[in-house]
Amino acid sequence: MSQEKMNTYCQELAELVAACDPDNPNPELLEKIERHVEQCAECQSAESALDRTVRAFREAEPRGVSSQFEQSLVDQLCRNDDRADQA
Amino acid sequence: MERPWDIDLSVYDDETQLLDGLRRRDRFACTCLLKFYAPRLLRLAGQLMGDQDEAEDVLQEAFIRACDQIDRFRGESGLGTWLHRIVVNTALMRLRARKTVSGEDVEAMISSGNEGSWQSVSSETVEPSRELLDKELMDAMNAAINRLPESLRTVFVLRDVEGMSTREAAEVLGISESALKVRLHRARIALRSEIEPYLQDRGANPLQTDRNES
Repeated sequence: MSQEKMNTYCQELAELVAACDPDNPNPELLEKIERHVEQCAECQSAESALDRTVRAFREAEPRGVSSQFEQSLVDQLCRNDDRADQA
Repeated sequence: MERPWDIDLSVYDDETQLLDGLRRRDRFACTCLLKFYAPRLLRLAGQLMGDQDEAEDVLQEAFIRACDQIDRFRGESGLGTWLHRIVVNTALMRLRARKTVSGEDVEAMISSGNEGSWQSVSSETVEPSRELLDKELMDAMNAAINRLPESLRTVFVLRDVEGMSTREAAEVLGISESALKVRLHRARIALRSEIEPYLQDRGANPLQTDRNES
């Protein structure tokens, strides 16, 4: 894919988000961000691609737990059971 | 002697029977619980903590707490949902105990998406399907999530990966809904720039290419 076909990923959104205090956001600025994302075709395309990636990521099967970790945790749970039985 | 990790999982036919076993304090009920739910919960803990060792600590603490407190489970949600919440709470407690990420760190994370990183593939943006999410992309996604600052990572994992509502995620994290929305935008911009090089390497339409090649 040639560089010419690539656009800068919405600089306007990046600037709006960077300007918004994440701890105490300005409501007007937040609304502006949300409106921008709704109306900007480029952002819509990027958001859609990320959504699909995240959905697939969420649905992917998790890797198994290592047998070493599993045994360690099982041992711990059994020790707890034993202590509860003794009590 | 039967070792706990060799138990036959079919001893409990379903979640209700497993729950009964846990309440009766059956010898290996907790082990069954672990075997059923640990893989998914370990992944969740890993995403929240951004570190595998810490994720294992979280999972251990969460399972011990769950087995200890099983009598408090009232069955208003599924057992998996209840465990899920315990893992989230345990992870968040540990994260709160850590030094919190400063605002400057978050700013640095956002601004580190330099000109190169802010590029997208425009109208030819790859739209990955489940089939496309091979190991490489999954690893890239995992690594990108782990690289997010904690304040952005937790928001992204709870809201986007775990599918909590904005209100619910904000409540769990103890922040306002508007703060959550801003952090989510920041996280998504950062992730987008992180996974984009992978998608670009695949070309404009990898699905079509794969079909043509076969």
